[in-house]
Amino acid sequence: MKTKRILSFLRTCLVLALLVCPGIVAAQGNSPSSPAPAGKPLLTMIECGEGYTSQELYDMKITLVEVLRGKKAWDVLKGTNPSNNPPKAGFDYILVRVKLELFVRGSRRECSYELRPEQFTALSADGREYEGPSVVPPKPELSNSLLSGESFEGWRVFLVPQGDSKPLMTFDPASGGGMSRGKIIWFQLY
Amino acid sequence: MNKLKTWLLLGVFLLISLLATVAPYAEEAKITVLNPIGYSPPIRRVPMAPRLDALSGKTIYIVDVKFPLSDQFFVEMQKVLTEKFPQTNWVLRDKKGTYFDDDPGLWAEIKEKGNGVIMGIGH
Amino acid sequence: MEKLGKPTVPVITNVFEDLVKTIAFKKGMPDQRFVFVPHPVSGKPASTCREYLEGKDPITGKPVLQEIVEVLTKPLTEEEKKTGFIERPKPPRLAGPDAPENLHRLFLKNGWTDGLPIVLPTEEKVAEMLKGTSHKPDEMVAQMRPSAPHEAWEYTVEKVAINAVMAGAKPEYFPVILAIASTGVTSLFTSTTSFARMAVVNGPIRDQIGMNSGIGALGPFNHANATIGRAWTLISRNLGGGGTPGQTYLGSQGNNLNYNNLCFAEKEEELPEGWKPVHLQKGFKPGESVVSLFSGWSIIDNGGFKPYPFQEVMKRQALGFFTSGTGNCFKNGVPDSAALTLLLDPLVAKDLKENQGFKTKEELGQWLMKNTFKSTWEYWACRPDDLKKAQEGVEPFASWLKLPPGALVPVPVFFDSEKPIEIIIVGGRTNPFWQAGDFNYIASASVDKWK
Repeated sequence: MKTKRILSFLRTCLVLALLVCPGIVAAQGNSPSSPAPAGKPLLTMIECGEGYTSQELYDMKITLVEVLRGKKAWDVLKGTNPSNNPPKAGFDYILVRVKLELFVRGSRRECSYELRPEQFTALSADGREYEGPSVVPPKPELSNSLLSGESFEGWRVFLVPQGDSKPLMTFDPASGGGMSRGKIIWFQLY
Repeated sequence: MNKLKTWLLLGVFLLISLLATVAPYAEEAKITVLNPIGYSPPIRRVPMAPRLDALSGKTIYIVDVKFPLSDQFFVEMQKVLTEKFPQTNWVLRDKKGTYFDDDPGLWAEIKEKGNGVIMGIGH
Repeated sequence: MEKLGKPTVPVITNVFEDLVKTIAFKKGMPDQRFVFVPHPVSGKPASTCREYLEGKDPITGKPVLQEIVEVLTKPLTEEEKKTGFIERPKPPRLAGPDAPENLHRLFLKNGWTDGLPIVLPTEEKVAEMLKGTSHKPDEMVAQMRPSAPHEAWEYTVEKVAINAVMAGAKPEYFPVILAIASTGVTSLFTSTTSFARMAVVNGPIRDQIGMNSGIGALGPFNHANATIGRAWTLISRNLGGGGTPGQTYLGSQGNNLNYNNLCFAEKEEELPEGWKPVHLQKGFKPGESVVSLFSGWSIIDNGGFKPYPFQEVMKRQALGFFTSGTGNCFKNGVPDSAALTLLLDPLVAKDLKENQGFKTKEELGQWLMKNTFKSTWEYWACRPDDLKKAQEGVEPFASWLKLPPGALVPVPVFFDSEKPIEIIIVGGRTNPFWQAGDFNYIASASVDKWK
């Protein structure tokens, strides 16, 4: 009962925050040609459950908190793990920190959202996907189970050609083998 | 003749008056409505993987996604393909769980050991 | 698999050509290569499967084996190598100006209706509908998809209002319709099995908007019941990307319940003492107005004529369903997952409480779960591992194998313990009837939030 009140309070705060903080926007206009920059929280929706006989809809606030590229990214990765190698010639590491907060609609709260690094992908402006590098990111990695009312912040690394000055990142909740679905969100990695 | 001209003019006048009266109603009969359709998301094109130069010497996975009562189709597929293309390694695998479930372990195995995939089938 | 760099051959049965090509396009692979075989494959003997494989693709006419090789080896065309995005333009906000009869024709031709006449959503009518809520017209309500592989569409408060007008709803019904829309649950699920849905309303809103929970509540006798349920179908078609036969709707026969989605109000005033209304069972508080959604396939009507105890008849009803939700065991290795929802006239609920002693809805549900058994033929068909044990002499299976035909195997394996039996009170006390459906609960949403 107490937990429900706390969660209800948190949800009300989120809604009030939406009203008073013009920075939080619905991911309505978000698209490959209109990706969100770092620092701008977006509101999106996640469907949890196999959808055949069960489904819950969650509100998710997602923020690309920080983007580091080149030497800045490598300095962090170098300090993270001695096994991390510098990027191959002609490529840069891009290190991102992402924050996610989850709130269930309705009353069930049965699903836990499985956050996985594979849900985040770097790609070029014309849609070519860049393969993830084999390096150990700083902790925590973008991997966790989230329940309604919880938030999580984690890191992800990408390897991007130096010639690409405006790469994008997508967040696709349906990737990574989970049972969640949702709109693909686009972010600027520049 | 003058009478005829008069009647003709009167008729034209009446016709014009009638049209002028009816025309606004014809315009009023048209309405504008709002479109009931929602917003579809943008689509990111996924380029297809490069094709194999030949089947000979390759490993092709045959994946049964586990729709009920359809296993025999893939057992038979493996037999037929092995008969017809004996130089190719045809590997039959069941995807785990039901047809809803993902199987990242199998995809990882195929990525490492396979050259191609045949996958099915619903119903 | 293509993204992993592995050329892939999807093998599909031919009746799903439109479906798979639509999905492939929406997933970003408009040029995906397919191989089709005759439908169905499920349950066919090996000899038939071989015929299919050695025969021709029913769509292209080419030999199936040749196509499999081509999909794997034929070099990609320039189109197939393309990357980039397909940004689909937003639909125009307005349609017209045109004569009303032409617009009616347009809506019907475009598949924007349920086949019945609609109320044309003029700007004035939509503005009037929007007065039914304090939420802004451009606020995003939710996203909805017809089923998991399909894309989700988004929609605003205004878009829901447009469809509510089309359904013939009044502005005072709008918060209920918005609440349903906010769950993102479609009423037109893609499946070949022809799903049905149910929407049950609880709380003060029922009387405020004149919903029916009495005589004829499930029938075509009440404006609010009819139009709220209808709006859900139109929303599912127009805002949820669903309802296009062959592409996003594959129900082999369809389901007549989809016209109105069994929308009614629970008769809370006639609940026996101790029996809670649905919304309290789902965690909402007294005084809140809530809509709860259920999913299933069929509904059976039953007259509660004595001398039979009603709960014994309900057990027999539960065994009468053979749909995907219950009575089936074709999913190898997947446990039974039967679902049951009972819609009880208040006379039936009264009898169950006063004469049969079920103090709560949950007690009745638990009793049914513990005391509903499968017949022997069904048990062995669904439990081949247990049959093997029985044949090997392992008890108690071996004793069960000796039961006469038609007997019941005395172990409660019918219901999924994770899905409670749902019990809802509705009706006008003209006769002790109830309706049983193979429905399970999906979601609830606060109506008050959308006022």
